[in-house]
Amino acid sequence: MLEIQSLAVSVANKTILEAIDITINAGEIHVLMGPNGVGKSTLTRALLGDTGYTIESGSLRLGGLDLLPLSIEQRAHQGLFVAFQHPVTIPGVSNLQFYKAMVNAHRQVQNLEPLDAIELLAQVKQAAKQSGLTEDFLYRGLNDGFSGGEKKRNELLQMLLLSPRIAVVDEIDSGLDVDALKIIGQGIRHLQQQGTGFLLITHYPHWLEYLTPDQVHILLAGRIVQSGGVELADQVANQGFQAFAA
Amino acid sequence: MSMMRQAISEHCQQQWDTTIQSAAEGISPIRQRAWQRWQQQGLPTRHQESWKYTRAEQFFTEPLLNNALKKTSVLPQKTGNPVIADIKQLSASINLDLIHKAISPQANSVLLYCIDGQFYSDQTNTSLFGGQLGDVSDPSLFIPAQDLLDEDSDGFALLNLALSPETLQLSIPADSQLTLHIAYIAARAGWYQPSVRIHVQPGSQLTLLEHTVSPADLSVSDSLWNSLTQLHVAPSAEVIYVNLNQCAPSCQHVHQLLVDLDTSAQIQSWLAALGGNASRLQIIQRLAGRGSSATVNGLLLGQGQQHHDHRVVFRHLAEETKSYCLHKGLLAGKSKGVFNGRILMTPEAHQAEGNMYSRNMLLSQGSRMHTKPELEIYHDAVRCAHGATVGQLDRQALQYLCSRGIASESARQLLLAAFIQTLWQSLPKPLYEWLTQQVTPSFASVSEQMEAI
Repeated sequence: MLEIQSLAVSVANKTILEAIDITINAGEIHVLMGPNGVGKSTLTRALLGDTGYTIESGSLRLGGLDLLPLSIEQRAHQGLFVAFQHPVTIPGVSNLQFYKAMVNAHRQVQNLEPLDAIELLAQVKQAAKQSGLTEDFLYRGLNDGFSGGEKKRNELLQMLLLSPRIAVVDEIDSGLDVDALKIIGQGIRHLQQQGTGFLLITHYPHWLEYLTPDQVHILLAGRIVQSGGVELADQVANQGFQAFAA
Repeated sequence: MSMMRQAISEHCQQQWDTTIQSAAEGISPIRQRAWQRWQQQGLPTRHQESWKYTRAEQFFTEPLLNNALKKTSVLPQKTGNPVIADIKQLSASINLDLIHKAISPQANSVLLYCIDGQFYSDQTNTSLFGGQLGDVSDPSLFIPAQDLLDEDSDGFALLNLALSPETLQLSIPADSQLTLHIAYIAARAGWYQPSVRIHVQPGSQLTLLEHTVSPADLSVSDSLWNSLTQLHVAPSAEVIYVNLNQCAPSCQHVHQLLVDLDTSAQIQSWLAALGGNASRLQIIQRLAGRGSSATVNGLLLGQGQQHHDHRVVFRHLAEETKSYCLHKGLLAGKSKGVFNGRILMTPEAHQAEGNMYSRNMLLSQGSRMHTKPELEIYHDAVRCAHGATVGQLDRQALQYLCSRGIASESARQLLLAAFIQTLWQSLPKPLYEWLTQQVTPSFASVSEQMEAI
């Protein structure tokens, strides 16, 4: 479904990613692991469609459609969701107001009427429950005064509301306690069962207690140096990334 | 002296001469003193720090100066107050329903009109508003406006004090609650200098809206408001103050609010400059009573060629006083915004606290913002902070909203709305809804002029 082929990305004329090849099918979980500074976040920004990141070569397709010419919002309309490592805070826009704008923007592209307020609230409450957020959070400013863990739960809530085709999850485990990690793991499994494909980007193999990846990719110096099964993550846990350095 | 300043000076002299001729009981010493100071001081110049970025002459247009002086008509007073006339007398010449619609007053508020400088009411009881409002029986309650202004006195304030026909003096009875909406409307071209004094008695709660508005059917050309309002807030009394400027583009608006706060008295203010070609609002708060507090939430919304100027002063004169100001500017087109803020901590301001922040967003290449929050501290045991920013929409926030499928145009609108939303969120709900409704059309117009970033 998501096909990343020979993708090379540069930032300010400096090549960060040289040749990335990953194919994620519906309902698959892929984990991209790598130490600091190898280009994990660059890949996230490039997939998002941030114009500050230049695609030097390669292709990016979702369901056969070329994503590269599309803007950030157009990629979202095609079913790409990026869960951020550091979600922004916007006081003055309530979470509920934001969810409404988000859900109805997707419905508009699908030529559907805006969602009825009562139905929207019911869906939001259900997603909030699954994300472990209480209702009072819904009326606060977007991520305003949220702890690190609450922000990550809010990313999961949005993911549950939109049921994307592909979700790129950037370091969502960083700063999470065990309970929060478990809730997010359950949320991801729920979406996986509905067919969402995942690219989980991380330093650490914390996830493995809650999720079983279909493939693990090791990113070093702008290249995927090895792809394989869950045993690669075990190898990282036992020997670190040094074991993969050529 | 430039030709324009000379013309303004001559025009003011004519007004003063007319004032002297029409004053049957002579001119009060306060007015005479103000006139003498005006003669010495004249119009503000750019050498005065608080007028550095605003040209005083721009408030006077040629048609305004060439306009023949009009005497205020003397109308029968049936409203229980010597200065307030019955609005029905205007029903033949002005569509009062349309005016009412433009003002859109809240339910249960007492509405006073100031049309072409004359105060009106639609209530004709001999006891003013069934006793909800009283006359000020003891004018000595008020510190003379010139003393309140002190070093912040400027030519506009002096002209108002000298030339204002009559001061509307009101008193809010002790331990009562009242919402008073004063709507300033220019129906004819001219220069208007209304003056209001309100004594808020101990323990009472006053919500005061000063609203300069131009109803759509009144095509006013070249009018200038130079108004002055003075509030004395007695011990433990509370004031919620809203100043909304929605003048027509041909209107110029200058307003001074002078506040004197007694022990444990409070004022919370919300200011919004939306209309007029040029506007200037100066709010001077004297925190004279121990434990008194003042907050100001201000907004400048500029578009086209508009010029908006706000000046906010807190003078901490007593122990444990608190002030807070959050001021925002949102400027599009070729508009210009000015914010001057000053927190003065006198040697008496032991354990006082003052904070002042100016946050501004430029939506176009041609817009400008000049901002200068200042602290002046003469005592060690105080807490103070201030800051100013001028920037554009946050690119990361914009990307975040777009990443959820929200179109970039809608995302920009959401972010702009959020920027000003934080100013209003502490308003009581009915006022919040009223002010949001009033600000929305201007906000939509400003955000439409936003250039891509």
